[in-house]
Amino acid sequence: MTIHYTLSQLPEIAQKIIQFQQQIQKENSILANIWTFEGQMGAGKTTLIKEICKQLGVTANVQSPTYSIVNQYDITNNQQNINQKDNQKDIQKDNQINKIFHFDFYRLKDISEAYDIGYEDYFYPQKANGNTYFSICLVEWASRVQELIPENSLNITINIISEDKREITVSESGFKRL
Amino acid sequence: MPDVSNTLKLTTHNSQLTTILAIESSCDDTSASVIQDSKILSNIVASQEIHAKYGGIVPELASRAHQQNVVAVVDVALREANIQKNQLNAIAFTRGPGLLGSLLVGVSFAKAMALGLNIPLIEVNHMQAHILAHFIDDPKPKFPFLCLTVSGGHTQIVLVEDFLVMHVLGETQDDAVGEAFDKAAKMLGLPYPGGALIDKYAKTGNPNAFLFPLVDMPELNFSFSGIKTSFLNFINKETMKNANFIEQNINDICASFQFTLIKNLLYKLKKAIQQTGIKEIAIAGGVSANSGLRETLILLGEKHSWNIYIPQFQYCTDNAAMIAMVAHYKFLQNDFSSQNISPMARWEI
Repeated sequence: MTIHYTLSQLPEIAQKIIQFQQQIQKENSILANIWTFEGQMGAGKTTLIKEICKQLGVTANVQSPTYSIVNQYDITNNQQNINQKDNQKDIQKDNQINKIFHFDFYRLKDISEAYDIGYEDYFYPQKANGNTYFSICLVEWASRVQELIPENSLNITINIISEDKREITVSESGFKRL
Repeated sequence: MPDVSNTLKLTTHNSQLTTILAIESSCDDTSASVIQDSKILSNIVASQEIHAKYGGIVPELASRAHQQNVVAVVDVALREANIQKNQLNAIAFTRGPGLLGSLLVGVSFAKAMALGLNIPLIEVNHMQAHILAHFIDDPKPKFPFLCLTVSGGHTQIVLVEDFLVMHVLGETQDDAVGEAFDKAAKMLGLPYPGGALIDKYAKTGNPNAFLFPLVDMPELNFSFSGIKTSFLNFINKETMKNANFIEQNINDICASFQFTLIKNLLYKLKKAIQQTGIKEIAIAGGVSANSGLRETLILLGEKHSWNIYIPQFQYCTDNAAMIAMVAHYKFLQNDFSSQNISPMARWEI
């Protein structure tokens, strides 16, 4: 899916990306919890992610994670969970999404630094109290840790067309029908 | 006949000096500090020099780095303070906000040490600590005061009513101001992070040479994401016309960009001063090292008779002395933490 947009269309674009993700999950019966974002500095990766977070039910202020490497947000609105469950009644019924992690790997000099922050604790499901918890990981500059990005991921690329125009391409990689 | 060792111990207790070890590991730097009452005895930040003594190199980022640094840094902090472990009355640590894996190293180390020495634990909020760095040296601001905390990760205006009573009046809604500096430097082909280089070039440039639009956020909030994009557009446009635009105009570009950021910070600070009527003004965080910000703030202070407080540079960037300072005031209030405590990646002031 490739779309051209301006800043004012951001809510609509975020909605389309979320719908695209849900459609992939439905078609493949698999959770697409890793979303990668590529695009040069100033392209609007964080701005798009802010809007996506808002639509996924984050009420907190979404700030840039460039310095902190990863910011975490709770999902207060349960809409996403309801959708997940409707879509994947069979395999995901006990799984819950309770957090969004917003990464920026820009400052990483070496892939070993991603191991150091314990990336796998964020990317992969965690078990607690008999439930499996998934987190949605929105990853900026994922190319810096490409080999760590799981096979099933949603890839979003933003290209600058002009000062106020962007081209966005959303694709999935590695999804296999179960 | 009285037991001599007991008498000695009693004397130490009678002198009532409280000695606390503080550990900071919220982001990149591992640091340890020893405070005795309100006096900082040592403040050690992991550096190549410390590692030279221990025969290693300093890894740059995150939890494994902190694991490798923490023992050396604590050891040097205690030695430099000339304090034995058994003289400590409490162990303080940064509980958040920060990178979870990094915080975990400091929290675990502090817990283990407190348990081993059978002394209390004190949790500290990193953002509160940046502000209490003002109480390390004289002159100290008088309550209530306003603090503008500016760094690579934060931009906040905080109303400080007392040592441990603070309210965030406004903060960035996206990028921190330090990040805007660093990313603009990158767009100019300077190494990342290059915020300090912008300051250097800006010194001899014309701050009014170029105009960069900045979004005015409601209330006392900031936004520095938009200016990053408009800066990129500007650089792209100009270098298309003239391939040598950057090198020919680096001083003016830096001066104009820096001026825009400072103007915005001080505009909001002035607004906060007008709203609260407070004229005791402090700045904290790594960006308070920016000479343009310091000079402009001091000038404004003279003009409007505000009292301006700027801490020493070593207490502006992440350091454990500021954590120790918060711990000192928490100790006075018997505000201790349990051994069950875990770090918090997000933690409002």
